Amino acid sequence: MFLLVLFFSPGNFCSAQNNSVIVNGKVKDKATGETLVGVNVVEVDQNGRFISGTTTDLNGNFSIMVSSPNAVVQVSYLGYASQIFELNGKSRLNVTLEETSALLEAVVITAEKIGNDGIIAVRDRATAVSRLEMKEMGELMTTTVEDMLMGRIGNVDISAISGDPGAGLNIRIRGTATLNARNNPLILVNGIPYDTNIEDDFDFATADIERFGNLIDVSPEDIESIEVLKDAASTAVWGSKAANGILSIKTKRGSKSEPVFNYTFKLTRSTEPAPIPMLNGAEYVELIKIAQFNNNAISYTHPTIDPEVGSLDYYNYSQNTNWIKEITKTAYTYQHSFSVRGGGDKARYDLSAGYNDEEGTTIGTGLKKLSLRTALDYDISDKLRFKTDVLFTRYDQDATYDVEDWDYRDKRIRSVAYKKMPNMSVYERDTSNNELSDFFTPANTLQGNSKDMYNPVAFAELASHKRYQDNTRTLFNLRYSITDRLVLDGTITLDLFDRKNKKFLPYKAIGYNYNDDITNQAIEDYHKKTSIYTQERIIYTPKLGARHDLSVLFQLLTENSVYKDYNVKTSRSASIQDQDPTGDKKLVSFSSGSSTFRYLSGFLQLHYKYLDKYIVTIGTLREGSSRFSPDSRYGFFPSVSTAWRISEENFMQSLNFINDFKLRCSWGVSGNAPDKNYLYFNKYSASSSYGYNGIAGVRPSGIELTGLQWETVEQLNPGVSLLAFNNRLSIEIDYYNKHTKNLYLPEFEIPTHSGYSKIDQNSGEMVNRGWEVMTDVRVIETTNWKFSFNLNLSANENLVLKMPENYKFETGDMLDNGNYRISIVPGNPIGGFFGYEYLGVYKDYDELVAVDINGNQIYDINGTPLHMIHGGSAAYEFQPGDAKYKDQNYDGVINELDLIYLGDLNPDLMGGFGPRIEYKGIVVNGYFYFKLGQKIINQTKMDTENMYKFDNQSKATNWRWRNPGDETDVPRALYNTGFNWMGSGRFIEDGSFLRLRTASLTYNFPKTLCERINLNEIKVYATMYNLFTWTNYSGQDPDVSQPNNPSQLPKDISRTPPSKKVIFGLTISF
Amino acid sequence: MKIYKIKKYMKNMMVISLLLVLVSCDKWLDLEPENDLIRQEFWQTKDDVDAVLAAMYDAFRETSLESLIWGELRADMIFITGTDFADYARIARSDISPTNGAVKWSEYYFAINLANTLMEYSGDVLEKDYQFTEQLKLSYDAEAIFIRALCYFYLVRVWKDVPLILKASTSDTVNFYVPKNTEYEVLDFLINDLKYAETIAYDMQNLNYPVVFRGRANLYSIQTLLADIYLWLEQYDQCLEYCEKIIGSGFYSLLSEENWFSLYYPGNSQESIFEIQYNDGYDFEENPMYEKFLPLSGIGAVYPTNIALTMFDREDIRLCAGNPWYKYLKKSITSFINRDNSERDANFLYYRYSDILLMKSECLAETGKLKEAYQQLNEIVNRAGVGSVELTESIFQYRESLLNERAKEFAMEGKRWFDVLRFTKKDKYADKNKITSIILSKFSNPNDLERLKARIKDTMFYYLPIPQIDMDVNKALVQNPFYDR
Repeated sequence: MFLLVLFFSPGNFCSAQNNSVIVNGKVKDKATGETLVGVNVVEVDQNGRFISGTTTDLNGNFSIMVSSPNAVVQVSYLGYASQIFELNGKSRLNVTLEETSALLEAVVITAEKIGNDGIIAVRDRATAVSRLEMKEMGELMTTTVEDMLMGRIGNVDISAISGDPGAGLNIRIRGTATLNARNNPLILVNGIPYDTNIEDDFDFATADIERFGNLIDVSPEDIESIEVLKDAASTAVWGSKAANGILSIKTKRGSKSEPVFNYTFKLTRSTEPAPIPMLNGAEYVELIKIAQFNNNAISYTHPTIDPEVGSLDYYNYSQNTNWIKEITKTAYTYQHSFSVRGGGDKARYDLSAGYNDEEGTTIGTGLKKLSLRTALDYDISDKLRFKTDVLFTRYDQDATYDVEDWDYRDKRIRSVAYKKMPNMSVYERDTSNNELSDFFTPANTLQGNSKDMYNPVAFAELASHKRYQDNTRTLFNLRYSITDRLVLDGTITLDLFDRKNKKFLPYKAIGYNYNDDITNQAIEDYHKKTSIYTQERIIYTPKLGARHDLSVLFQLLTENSVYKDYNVKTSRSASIQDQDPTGDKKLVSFSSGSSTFRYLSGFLQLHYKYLDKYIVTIGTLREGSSRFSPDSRYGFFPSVSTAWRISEENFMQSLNFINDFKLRCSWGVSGNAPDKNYLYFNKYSASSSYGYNGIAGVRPSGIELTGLQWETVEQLNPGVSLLAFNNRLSIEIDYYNKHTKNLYLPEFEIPTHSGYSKIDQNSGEMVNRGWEVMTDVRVIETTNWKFSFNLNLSANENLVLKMPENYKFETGDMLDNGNYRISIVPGNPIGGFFGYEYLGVYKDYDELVAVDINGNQIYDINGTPLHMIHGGSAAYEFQPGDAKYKDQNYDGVINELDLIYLGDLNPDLMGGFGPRIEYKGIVVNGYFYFKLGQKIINQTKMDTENMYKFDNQSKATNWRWRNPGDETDVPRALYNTGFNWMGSGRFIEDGSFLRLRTASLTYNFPKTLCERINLNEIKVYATMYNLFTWTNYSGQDPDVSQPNNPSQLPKDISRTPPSKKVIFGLTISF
Repeated sequence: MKIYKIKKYMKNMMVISLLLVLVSCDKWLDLEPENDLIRQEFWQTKDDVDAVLAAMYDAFRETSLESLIWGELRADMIFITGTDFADYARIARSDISPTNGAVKWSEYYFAINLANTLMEYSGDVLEKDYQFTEQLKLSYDAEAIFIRALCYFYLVRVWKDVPLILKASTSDTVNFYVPKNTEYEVLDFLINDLKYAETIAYDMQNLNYPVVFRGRANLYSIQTLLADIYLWLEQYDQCLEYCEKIIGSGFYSLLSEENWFSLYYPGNSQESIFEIQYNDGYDFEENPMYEKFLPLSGIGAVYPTNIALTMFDREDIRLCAGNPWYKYLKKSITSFINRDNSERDANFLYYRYSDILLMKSECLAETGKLKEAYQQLNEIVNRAGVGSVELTESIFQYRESLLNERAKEFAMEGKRWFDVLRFTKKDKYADKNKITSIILSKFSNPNDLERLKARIKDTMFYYLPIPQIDMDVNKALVQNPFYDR
């Protein structure tokens, strides 16, 4: 900061050389007459800027060289009113200062709160915006912003993708509005986009959403407020980027004060809830034998499930290993953050540094994060000021090694751990059952080779996956007020995302031979995104008399983003120490890419208010994107919002318990662009694999898409805002209807006789509608007691309205086991799925006969009763103990004609509520979060109860059908045949839940005590996360995240459930 | 004063930047792919045309495995196993549905699209690169016409009626939703198209033409294809005329009994008329028949049936010392050693001289010259080292012998099913016994055998259904009868 001061005042220093004068003096307390030590004595110029300065010594004396005999000197001291003296030739200055601590507390901030857009006052909004002030969240000690937001704001659905550290989140504002993969909202940090979708050119086929993790890099301590902008009128200014809503975060800035230091320490303990109980070694062996017997009626043995007593491997295969437990641990996180903020008349600063050391609950995972932030404000004059922010975050993450090869059976350690045979030992054992130091990684077991089903502990411990990421954002803003009413404001931001993934799979991790092609595999991929954003604004607020308020905003936005990536993969490194994919190794793959995206928009907004009662905002936006061909490049998107403050009307004046009552209505259109670059070109690709007879080949690789255009989302949003009882009750109610037209359909299937199979095109319509209620009540407010309560409720309904006649979106071979069908058809919501109705188990032979609609048996021509068969080509005849599906059309065949709609993941109602109780310095804060009526495909249950392969199964399979007459709803064990686990209601569960998401206790030390030890504030607290969940759902976590791509089913796969966390924290401010 | 200057500077900056943004925005948003070529910037030199020509042959080469399978699968000489071929195995058992993953024509149409693209855009290069002459463009067009015609000929023999697409799919303004054309519309078009190609094709002056022209269509491949199409249409006079053109050219001759195996390995012999080239020197140009069909490879295998093995006399060279399959696997007829890793690039033969001679024989017989027909047939039989076929007076007897000899001559070369189908078609499907017995011999599920027997007389069952993925998205298509219920 001092550098900056030096930089901006060179002229003054020059002139100081000529007429400098030395001034001496003494400073005393006015009340006591004692001399004051360490008082700041500063020469300032006419604009109040610092020129030179000193402090008083132990006797209260000072001596300062000033630039001229007529200089101005400012004397200031913490807790005292500062004074300014014009020297007028004097060379001695005796000062008495008056204490002001009493005054400070009386200061009431009366200024109107301005929204995060910096233009329209929160009170005058006509749009649907939810706002969260961070000081309300002060006691809630969280490690991430997302944790804090979860369930707090109506119709904002945030769900974790997995419980691993650094794992990403899915955020949906008002449901899924597009079939495009991009449904996450725009995140703004201090008004500039924070692009969560870093990897536009990244291979979506292999990337999962976890890679898009770490959505928001800002640490919760640095945030001042968060706003969620939901309707089209409020997001209008951001156009297509904000078609899915905006999460706008404003970080703290320095204010005029003495330096305030703040230190926070947090310790988090995370544990995992109990996993699904799995079979132990003996139960597993029994299950496998019977499953085999049921298939081919031959009694089955295998040296790896029942080894001969006394054989070398006997103890290696006679254990009771709980693989989940073996890869799980209790994890601790240490977090330090330090900040200093303050400033003078001209300059304000806010600097902070944070360091996280986080462990994951899966062994071998962890995250270290360093974040540094600088925010500076400097007023060069009344008219010109600048602002600069620098944000830097470094991640150093140990992630699980997710296998990328398709030939591995499973990609994730945790799902392998669920399947791994429990009779196998983690470590090698000798013939006396002593554990040796090497992991037991046999090349082949009953479950296949060790690539298919590796030892998860060995894999977690030995395979490494490091993720390094640096995010840097530098923002520079200049604001120039030509007059009081006309302001120019320009911002330029440089954003750098730099990420490297480094993976290494040593041969020992999977027990393969060391020179095999898949072992000692080293992968490195590198992505870099560089974005430059510019924002230029003209804000004009003409004076039109007392009754009218008008503000006009014109804004130009540009974005230029460049993506670069490369990826290299080698295998057969000669040493497990040599983990780089360079040198003399077998090259498996190498690729690189780069692309550029540009965006431009102009926005004009008029905001008019008459008599503080009638408010109208009109916005028009024109935007262009490099992703469209010149013909369809620009979109025009209007928006209007109006509000009527009824509480200001005369007839309402008698109801003086109402402070503010406002009716709002907004309407607007926004656009949505495809998420890939260069789609519209007729592209040609060259490849050595297209050559013929020694001539290199080039072939067209994509059709020219002249029909690509803006997908438009039209949103209508009426709402009500009420503040009453001295602002102690606040209610916001909103209804919305979000109509998506020209739906962007990626990978639209076209006839293959065109030479292609898929193109991208725009057609179809979809609607999302729903309502939100947010209330806040401060029930009790006395000096000692405070009690407040917060509640939000929301519901969203999604419906596909129109699709092209030949649009085909169906997945899943429904004659096979394990599949559900998704189909996007008019009249159904996105995310819905079809399957069979599950009726339990055929308990005996008699139940197997086919019946007609009246319940009468069906006979064939020869008069023998027909039995239920499966509709596939093998015409499998169902047997006693098999799963029983409802034959919806009574034809004796289970096939696709028997499918029914089983539900969808969209909750009927979601929300959160929580009380806050404060007694003197003690604050208790709780928050409950719930979703009702969503259906979940419990894939984990399917995987652990199908008894079809050699995978380990859950204890529930002990209730399986064994003998004719058994009444149970778990079918018999049947190896590799039959249809016992077709997609049916058996694995669909109601995912309604209520979760005590946070509970916290805070103690603020009394002011008097703090002052005695020269501190402003001491606060200790404990917060507990995910303490209880009330649900009937049998899986790990009913809060399943919506898949990013509508072609994927909303499945609960066996990932780390959200861990129970306890955070202890301490904050000191001085 | 300083501040004043900054103010002024700022003001100017903002005004300038506003103007700049407004004026240059459209140019600024024009971005072209950095990793890909685009059509507007391609098509500049002869090299570009050559590259698309190569890609067209490469795309056609991709269909060779399918062509071989469709030519054999439902007939009686191979059986197919393994996970990679489960869908094909289902078709072999007559369990055929439009959703079967193997029922797809996309690879043929992909090659057709490349041929169409080449013909439409190569003209753009004429004025940009003087090396690319009008004459060269025409001879490239002839090659494209040949590849397109051969693809369509496979399509109509497998699906009967198919959409005839003659325009390149370069943009989404092309109408993708077209109906089928009948088999005869397609074949009529092909005949006229090939006759045009005959007039512009590159005429080889001798067989020692440069290596780059190897495996590419020339005048004689075009004439052979015409002969084959006429034969399929039972227009024997025209077929004979084209057979004579090729015989008369003098460029081709039968290999001797001793050299016979060089037809397959190393290939490109004087008997070969059109053979698609593989090359182990390049990645991705290995013959897939080696890896995919090698018995014991696990993922899939093709074996000759007992019928196929017992068809041959012991001395018949075409038995390849025990298994006709060895023509794709072994180093020589006397060696039991499989080809090395680096030698798995045997070419795939579409047409060869013995085919022409047998076509000629068939035409002679069908036009009443039975004696000459037998003479011609025996030329091939003698070469195999197994004596001669007895002369008879019955055309039916002759047909039996010819079908039998063609089976042996082209064993495992993807011709058997089309031959059986062509013979069944004769005299308006007079005799369906041969084809029905072949179909039923492979049928496995006895429950449905009776049901199938009644339907097997439906001649549309000898063709495949339109792939369901195309039925779903193209409402103008009508499913082939037999599969539409």
